[in-house]
Amino acid sequence: MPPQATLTQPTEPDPTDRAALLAGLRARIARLDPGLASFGAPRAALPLSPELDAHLPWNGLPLAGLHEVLSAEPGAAMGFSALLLARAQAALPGRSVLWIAPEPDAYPAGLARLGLSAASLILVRTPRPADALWAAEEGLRCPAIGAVLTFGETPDLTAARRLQLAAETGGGIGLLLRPDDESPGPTAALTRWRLSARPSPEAGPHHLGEPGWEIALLRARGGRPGAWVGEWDAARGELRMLAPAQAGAAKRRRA
Amino acid sequence: MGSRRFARTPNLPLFEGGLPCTAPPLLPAQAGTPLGERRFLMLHGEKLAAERPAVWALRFSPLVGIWRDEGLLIETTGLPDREPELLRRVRGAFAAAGAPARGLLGCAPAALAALLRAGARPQVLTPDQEAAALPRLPVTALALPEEMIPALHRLGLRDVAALEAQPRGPLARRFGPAIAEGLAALRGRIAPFTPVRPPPRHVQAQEYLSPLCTAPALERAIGTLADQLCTGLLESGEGARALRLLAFRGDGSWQELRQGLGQASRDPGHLRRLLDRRIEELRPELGFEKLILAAEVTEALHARQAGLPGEETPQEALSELLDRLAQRVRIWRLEPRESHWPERAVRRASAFEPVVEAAPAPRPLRLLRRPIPITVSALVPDHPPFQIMIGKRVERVVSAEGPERIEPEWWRPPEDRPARDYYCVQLASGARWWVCRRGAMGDEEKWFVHGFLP
Repeated sequence: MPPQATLTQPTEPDPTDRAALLAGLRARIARLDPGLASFGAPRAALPLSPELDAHLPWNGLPLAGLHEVLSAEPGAAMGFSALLLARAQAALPGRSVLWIAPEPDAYPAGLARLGLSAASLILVRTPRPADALWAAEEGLRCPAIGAVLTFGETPDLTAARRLQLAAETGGGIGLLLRPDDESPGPTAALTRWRLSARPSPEAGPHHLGEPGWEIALLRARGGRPGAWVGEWDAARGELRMLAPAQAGAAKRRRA
Repeated sequence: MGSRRFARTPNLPLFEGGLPCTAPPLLPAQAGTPLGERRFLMLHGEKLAAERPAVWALRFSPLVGIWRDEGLLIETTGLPDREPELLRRVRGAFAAAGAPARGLLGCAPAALAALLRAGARPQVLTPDQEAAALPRLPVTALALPEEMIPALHRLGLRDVAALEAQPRGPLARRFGPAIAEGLAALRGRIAPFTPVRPPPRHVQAQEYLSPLCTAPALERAIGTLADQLCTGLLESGEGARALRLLAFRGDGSWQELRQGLGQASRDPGHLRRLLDRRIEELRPELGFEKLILAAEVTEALHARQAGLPGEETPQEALSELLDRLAQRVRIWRLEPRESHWPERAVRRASAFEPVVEAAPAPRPLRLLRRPIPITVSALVPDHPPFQIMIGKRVERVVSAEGPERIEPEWWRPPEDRPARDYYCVQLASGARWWVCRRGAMGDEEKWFVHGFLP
């Protein structure tokens, strides 16, 4: 905002006025990085489940951000990612979802059980990683895209930062679904999750029960890590948290 | 047979011995062509009646056709140049390109072709001059079947005047409908011709004094053309669905680029972005001296205030994004299909069209394109598996749902495709797999993991 900049300039010469100095510096930072300026400010978020929402500093999974999902077990990680896409679809009606993979093999009938509608799902085939990152950035920047799911890509810090800035422009969420790694490295994403499977307690020999997931929040910008055991209740369409006593098992895997 | 001696052959010049058509005065500059009157330039020359010369001739006019197997027909109606200069310029360009051509500019293509066949010199004909020259044309100059000429001569019909004096009915009964059509075409009543490229609704062309070689120069030139094209589209309330860029090099070769759009658009910025990405495909070599940008396919587009950033509707933003993505990678949507066979139950649909939603079913979220082969142990052959070996790893199954038998569709070949039994299994680790048995139970059976359940 150039007009404001010219207004704050004349007040700066007095070096003893700490408040004015700080305000000026904050304004400059805000101009450099809009994402950092809105840090701590309330931002729109996707509801996940009461427990997760209370734990996350944004009261839910923040929109206009990049999130990483590490896949310790392909089914559970894919299920959690599909759930996030479905929630983004519900929160941003009219926007489409991009599914970017070297060989996109989404299956609409299965995705519909998690509430993800295939009508607004667009599959993008990117044999080269450079194409995948380019497509993800273009998609995130577009105001008609609600969520972008990228498979298997591990962008470096610069590329991830670009994606994060693109998401702040477009207002959707970016999901990086990548294989689990012992040392996943630093990230520019707002959150990082690790998903593994958990046998359902009510499963019998001829009955699978509801899908159970071990949800570990490894990293959240401005928040604490955590671990939960959740269950996807397909009938009511909600993510239900089981007894938190079991969370310790999930924490152990995080080391 | 005596009459055949008088039959004129195309080699004999027509205008000799006191005929008044020898040197018509050059026309004064025409302010504009009268409404309802079309002007054509007919070119006759060696090997002109082919696609290559025809596409090359698009640099003079957007409407160029191949006339029989004799030459090229260029529609010049409404071109900005003065006609004598246009004729000189076109003939000069063809001569420089190594294909000298005789040209005649007038109203009726068939008449022009007949006059050229009879040996007329290159010139511009007014409608009156053309009408005056036609009656003296010999019937040999008309595009009639060869065996018809002696028959006409036997009847004493040697020139067009004599032919036109005859009643059409008996003439058509005697010689077939071709002769009546030929006479109507001579007078310009019918002028059918097929352009080599469909006539664009909107076109912008620009010639450059110094040939364009570098990418920035091309980018600027194409951007200017796109802006002008969008202005024209805005005035007529249309949006472009397909663009064609023709770039002519100095040595007579050219390059053609086509670009489709997912949704009709007349946003100069969008067109520029799409075309800029194609510039790397252009090979200027010694430089382009002429660029033509045409909107081949257009659709009606409602008038709307343009140019306010951030106010575009999501629909437009999405189609622009898809246009950009489709340039570089493959994109599609998934549409359900009436089939129980898992691979056939979805099919790829265009990303630009809406698709119907799929009904939820106990299916994996991703269907593995290459199913993973596994080895399975079961207590009894038709029981669900209790242990799965995948590679060298052994997994214990704690619960299994199934089987779900899927029979092959017998109406599709190959007919001997085996049926499949699908199980949803949960391993001791909590992972859920969608596994299937293919083939009859026993030695023939093969097991696969076809997907991972959430």
